Amino acid sequence: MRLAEICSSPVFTAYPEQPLAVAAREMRAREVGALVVVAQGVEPQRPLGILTDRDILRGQVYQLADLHCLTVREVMTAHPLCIHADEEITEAIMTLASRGVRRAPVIDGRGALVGIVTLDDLLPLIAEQLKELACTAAPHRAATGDANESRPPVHPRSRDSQRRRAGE
Amino acid sequence: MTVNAGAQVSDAARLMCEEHVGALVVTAALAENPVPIGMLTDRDIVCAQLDRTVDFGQLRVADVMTSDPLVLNEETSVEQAIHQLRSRRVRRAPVIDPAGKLVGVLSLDDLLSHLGRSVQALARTAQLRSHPHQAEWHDRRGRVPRQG
Repeated sequence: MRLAEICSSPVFTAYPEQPLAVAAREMRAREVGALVVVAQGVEPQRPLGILTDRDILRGQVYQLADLHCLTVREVMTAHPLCIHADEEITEAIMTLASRGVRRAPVIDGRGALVGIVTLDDLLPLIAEQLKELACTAAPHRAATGDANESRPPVHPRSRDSQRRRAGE
Repeated sequence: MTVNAGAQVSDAARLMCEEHVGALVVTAALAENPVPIGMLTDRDIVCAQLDRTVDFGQLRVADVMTSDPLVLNEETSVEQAIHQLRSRRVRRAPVIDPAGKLVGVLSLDDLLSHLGRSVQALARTAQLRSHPHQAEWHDRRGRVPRQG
């Protein structure tokens, strides 16, 4: 499955010159943990940075400044990791892991912002794949209500002997 | 990581940045043994500043923390812990021992790592059973053998 199919879109954005308090209010109103920072009025939108609650706090602590005295540019994480919309989800997980980040803007072939992906979006997909695998490996245990449910369980030893006969 | 309810928010914020954590367990001010009475996240601190006209330097942890947090017992099973975190819609919770003393924090990320290790062990066992020689090679070289 490609990232384009699952990433969150549209993305909530901020711009570098925006007062930090305005961006923080936007994050709270939208109930999101991050905004992608883009240049104001420029199309297509390209990610210049990412802004999280952690960035806001770190910016305040290290600059000894009040939230209401700062701009987005002063605290955002510039040059964020961006992931291509054509990447498979397993590749995307490896990419996020390699940089140790929970979320990343998703871009198309022109570098334009098309969405945002988070570990929380990817986890249910992996869980679904594991569930499918579990149902395939032990269909009689899967409480899915399908025809497999009524099939009697295969004794592990007889399953192993089946494999040997089949040359696995 | 813990912080006292009476501490200044600015000090708590500095601690969170220095320790690279997104949350602190808030403990009672005068308790002999640390007892969790709240959670303080980076979001709590940011949102508190939006609502108040008080100067950042004047805010106390007790003013902005989330009170009455979900608290897990160290005897709680992983399944129950996941269920409780989900029903309270939180990512992390303090963990106490049977005497009520704070012994740690459990987060969704910890649980994911735990389950991930189990899945990895399961995969390694399956690999050993179906391709014992390749699995041995894999272990020695630290690389996945190329199939076909």
